[in-house]
Amino acid sequence: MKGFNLFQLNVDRIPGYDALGPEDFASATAEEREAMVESRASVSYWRDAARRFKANKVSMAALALFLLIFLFSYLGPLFIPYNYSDQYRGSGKLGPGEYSKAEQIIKKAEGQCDGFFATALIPGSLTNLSRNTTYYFKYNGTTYSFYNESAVSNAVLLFSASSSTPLSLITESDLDAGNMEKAEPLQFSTGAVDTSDLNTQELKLIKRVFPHIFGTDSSGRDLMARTMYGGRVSIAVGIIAALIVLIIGSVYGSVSGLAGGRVDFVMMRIVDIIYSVPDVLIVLLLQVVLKAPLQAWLDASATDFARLMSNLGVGIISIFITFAALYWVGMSRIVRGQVLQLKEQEFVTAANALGVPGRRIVKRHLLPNCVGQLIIATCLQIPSAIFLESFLSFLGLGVSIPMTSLGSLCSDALDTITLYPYRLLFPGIILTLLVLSLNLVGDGIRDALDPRLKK
Amino acid sequence: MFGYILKRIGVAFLTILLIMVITFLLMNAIPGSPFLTEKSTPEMIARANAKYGLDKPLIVQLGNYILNYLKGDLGTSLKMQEGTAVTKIIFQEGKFALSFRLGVCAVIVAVIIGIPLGCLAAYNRGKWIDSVLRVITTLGVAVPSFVLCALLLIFLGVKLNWVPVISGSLGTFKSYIAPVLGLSFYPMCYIAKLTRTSMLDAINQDYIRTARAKGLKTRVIIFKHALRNSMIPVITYLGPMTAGIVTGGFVVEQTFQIPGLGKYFISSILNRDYPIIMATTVVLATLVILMNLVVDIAYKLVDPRISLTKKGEN
Repeated sequence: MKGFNLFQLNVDRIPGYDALGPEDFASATAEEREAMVESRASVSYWRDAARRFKANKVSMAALALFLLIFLFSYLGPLFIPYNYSDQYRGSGKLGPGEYSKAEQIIKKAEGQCDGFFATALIPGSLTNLSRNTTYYFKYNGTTYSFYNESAVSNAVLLFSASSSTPLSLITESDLDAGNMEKAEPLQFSTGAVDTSDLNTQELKLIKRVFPHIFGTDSSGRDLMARTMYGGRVSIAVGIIAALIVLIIGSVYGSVSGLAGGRVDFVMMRIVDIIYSVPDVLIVLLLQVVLKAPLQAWLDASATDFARLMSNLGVGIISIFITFAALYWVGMSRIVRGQVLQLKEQEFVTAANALGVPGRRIVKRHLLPNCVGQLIIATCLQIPSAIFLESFLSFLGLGVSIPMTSLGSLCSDALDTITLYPYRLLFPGIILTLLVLSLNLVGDGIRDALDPRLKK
Repeated sequence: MFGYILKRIGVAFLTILLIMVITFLLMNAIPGSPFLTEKSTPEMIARANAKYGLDKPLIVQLGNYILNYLKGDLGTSLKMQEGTAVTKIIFQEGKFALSFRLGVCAVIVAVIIGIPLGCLAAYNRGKWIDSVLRVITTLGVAVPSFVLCALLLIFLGVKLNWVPVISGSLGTFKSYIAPVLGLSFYPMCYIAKLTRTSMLDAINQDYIRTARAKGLKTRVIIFKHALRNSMIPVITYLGPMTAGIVTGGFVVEQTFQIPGLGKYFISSILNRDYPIIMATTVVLATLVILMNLVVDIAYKLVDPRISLTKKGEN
């Protein structure tokens, strides 16, 4: 370091008093001062790890990628008008970025009306009142009814820009002909219908049509919406399963490590046996067996917990159960190893000597020291849980329709792979990127928290 | 040494027993009878139960099953091929042989391509070829097998028309290519990664420095001295790899329409033919556990430095 050398005494060149110039009395530069500092403020373990993680470009890029997929899955549905379970009539089998026939016509009409409501795009709401002649709908608080001779199954209602009242109705035949000029202005009557006993939904005006960016499936469901929801399910399953593994594994491992002796021996032999069970076979079996009893339990019980669980679906719960039953063994081994190592440390002996109860020793002294290892193992557990869930869904044992996950999307796509390869491509790519990014983030966290393990 | 082997064999037997008990209990926990159809009367169910010995107490049934298993009898199919012995379905109708052939091919491909790739990466460490291989192997362990298989199906089968879309019972050489590639890609990438890492570890050892000081060529050092000593992690991986190949087989056989054991297992699960689920689970589990056992013992034999009596962390 240049600055440092300045302050080393150079015996060959001790300048005489006369030889000193004014520059020799200039105050030290920042660089020179820095070189003289001998002790620095201590950096905490976590800040040091964070610095190491930030310096790792690959893991930072992977983290960004993961956040991108996370936002796509969790915030994406807010920005598209489609839902994962709605089947849009006439929109089946569309390629990426395509519009259905009805949507194309609406696109043409976009300049001429303020908005539209299309039965083909949002199911329900436009309700047949008296055997396919009179229809009614609710808009802006008013109930409108109109008369139409033919059945209105695939119709588009246009709304004018100025009056915000319904303007005209385009029926299927008009759609087929492709000319909306033909559409007659509707004769509406308002308020005359008693709809109290019918469950009417307020019409939601759509301002513009949105392309099916990932295409649609054979039943007319938007694949982008399904991919987003599938991503949600996959990420949630991965994180929750990893947390289950973390809790069970760390409790079991610390008890085993702390107890030692015969208890430890028996507990570890149990772990050995579970460890050598071929997991996927048992998981597949559990999936089949758990389904019926779980469904029965969910149907019978009316607690909030059961309601929450039934929203998730039987398939996902049995995935959690299998994780709780089989996958904690790896974690428990790691925790036990750590506890065994830490148990012999002086600070634990000191705590023991002071009469600290065992539970408090675990909580205050042992677990905080294992945190690094626990985080590493949990992070690497998430992608493997996502992998397993998608594998089960692919084999038709995971989530059930209309709920979806990335794996079941791929599985659905396989039936029509030769005709519509893109149906597999989008969820497949997202799944791969998700697992890839989580793997790399996990590796990065491992390198940052425990540089000795660096590969 | 002998004690260790005995202990491992004991654990393996216990595990197989545990799997049998678990599968048996799980199977019996399912409500309803396998003979329950729209037309069946209670008497018919009772008669069928008596015929298959399902009217006895659970513990007796379990005991019978285990005894029969030791004799090589795995029970009878109740639904898919009613009345046929499961052993006949699995072994004589070629299902096991088909999956086994596929699995062995995949293992061989994974090992003989994966190890040289790992060596290549270690040999050219830091150069472009290392970077390319690292990207491929990192991606390879992240691509789910079903996505990879579907991609192979589209590109090799449909677009390029090089391989048949339906592999069937693997009659021709061409029909092997796509399934074996799909099955071996993940283990291949994993082995390449393992080899690279342990090779780089080995290169830092003292005997490599000695070899270098003697003036040996880098190539000789890598392939003769370093490779031998970096094979231990790869051998350890062969056990889990068998399990991976078995589960990978489910997907590959489903995708390429190969009527092997994996496809049969999945359809037996979807059809709820319990004796077949149980039998396939037990057979596949036995295979995986035996492989783990063999690998564990083998690699301790291969490397005399590993102490058998000292307990490692794992």
